[in-house]
Amino acid sequence: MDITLVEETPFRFRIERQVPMRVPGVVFATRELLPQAAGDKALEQVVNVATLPGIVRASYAMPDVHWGYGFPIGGVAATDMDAGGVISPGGVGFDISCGVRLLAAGIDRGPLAPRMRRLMDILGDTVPRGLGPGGLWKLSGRSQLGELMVSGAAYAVEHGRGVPRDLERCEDRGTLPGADPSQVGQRAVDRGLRQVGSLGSANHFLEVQAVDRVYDEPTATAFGLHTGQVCVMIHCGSRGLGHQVCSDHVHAMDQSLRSFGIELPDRQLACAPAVSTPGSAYLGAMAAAANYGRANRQLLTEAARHAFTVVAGAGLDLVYDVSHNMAKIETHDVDGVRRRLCVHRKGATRALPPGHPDLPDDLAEVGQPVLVPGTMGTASYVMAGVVGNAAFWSAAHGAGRVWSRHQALRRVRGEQLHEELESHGIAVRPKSWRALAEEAPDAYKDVDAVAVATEGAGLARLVARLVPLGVVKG
Amino acid sequence: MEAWAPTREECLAQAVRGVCASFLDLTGAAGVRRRDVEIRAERDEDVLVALLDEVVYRLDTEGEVPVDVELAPVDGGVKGVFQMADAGSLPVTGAAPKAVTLHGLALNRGQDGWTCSVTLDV
Repeated sequence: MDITLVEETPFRFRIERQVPMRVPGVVFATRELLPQAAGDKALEQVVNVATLPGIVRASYAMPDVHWGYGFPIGGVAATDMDAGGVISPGGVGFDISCGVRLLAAGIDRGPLAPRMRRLMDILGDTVPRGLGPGGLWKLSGRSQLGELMVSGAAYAVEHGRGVPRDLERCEDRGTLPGADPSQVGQRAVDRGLRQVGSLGSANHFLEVQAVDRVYDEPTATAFGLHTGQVCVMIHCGSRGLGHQVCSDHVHAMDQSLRSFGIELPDRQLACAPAVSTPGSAYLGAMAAAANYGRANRQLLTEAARHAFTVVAGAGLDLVYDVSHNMAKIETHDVDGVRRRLCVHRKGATRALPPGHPDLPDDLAEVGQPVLVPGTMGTASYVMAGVVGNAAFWSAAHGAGRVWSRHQALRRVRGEQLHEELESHGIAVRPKSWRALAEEAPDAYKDVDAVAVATEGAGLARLVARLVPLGVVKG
Repeated sequence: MEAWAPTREECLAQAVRGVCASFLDLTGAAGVRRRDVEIRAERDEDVLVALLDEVVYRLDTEGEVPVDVELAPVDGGVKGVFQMADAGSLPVTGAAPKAVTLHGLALNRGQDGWTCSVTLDV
């Protein structure tokens, strides 16, 4: 497919609408960040998403966009719920409510340095990760899992896994409304019962970081961050349960496409009108899986708190917890009319501007924290939502891959990468050398450039840069 | 992941082996228990998806992987046996699969037998 990009600004490119696209494509990136690898079809996927029934304004791509299945990763698409707009499980992603949680420690990097090895050893020993079953919380059965899927992080806190303040700093206060556990199939339940409180594998991690630089002092202070401070960043999602929910509902919608008269360029884009029976079923199951993901990060937070208490007597306060694989029902202005939209963010972070009513009171003036993890060898960013975001209050969610896992394995040896990271003072606790090599820093875009482009495109603004001190990998 | 073989069933079995070998070192691995599988679907490529879904499900719920696979044709699908090993007893060599996508999915008969292509989420 030939795709012509029109440069509108140094941070914004346009793909003009052509049949069968219903809206144009808009890519927020610099020329250097555009998908360039041979065979990377991310922009073709931006075009494919633009064909979805009910899509409004544009099919958007964030600065970290890269090739996914069906939807690109780093894609944002909003459909009009009241005009046949569809919900697509592929537009959320397999790992429903995969997201990032940032915790601010009551200790700076200097005082922690002599205790860092012990801290990493305890985290390495106590954070469940890797393949198969095994989580921090053994649920009694489907009934208890059902309660957890309805209330999410709030359920975990109610049962002593965390403090009430944690929920103030969670998107949706830790509970996505509308969860319907009856739409979560038995296989998803089976997979979910023994994985609450586990990282998983691949690009998921628990990282000990330090604030390297603050760009906006008042906002950083509101977030609870200062230069030199130690932080913990947790990246994970809804584990096998979320993946099974996505698989089950993609298959169901794949079967129902004909009845809705929907034709698609890629089966992974399977969708149904958001207000239809299969659409509502998925939204209920998705919310249940999202709440599972939020409870999962809450449990891992408790493991990190335990390690910091034992080693340093230091607490961990939640800065924010936000998903980057979600569809949410939101109201936005489209062509001057308020519309009820289903906003898909797949590998994109919601980024509420200052003054938004969904923000907690203490963040109302500065905007929502936007968490942009980079790589284990470079940096991560804390940004803040801004007024005027053109992509339905969405921003980048990470650095974005440039190498496939196979390419990374051909170019990087895990043992060597481990030595390099350790020589730079970054302690690594991997489950396997190959899995480590697949996540090599060079396999990703330059996160500094992604953060600058995110700000340049008017999606969010820089608040702080974090550097890794230690990483626990699945 | 791509696989190929003279027959449809052997191609599917090779796909299962290929998926498991993508994240575990199966050298010398022996089955310790047996699981019967029966998959039916409208399209051949959906049989492939369902078969690999079974592998992912067993891994997540029981922590086990098939190290030997035998499949035979049945009406609208395949039937056979997985010989399972405990995944925890095998060296991890990559990211474990968590879902089977429909993206770029294919299972076709060609001049030299059967070929398949499937993309996994890890």
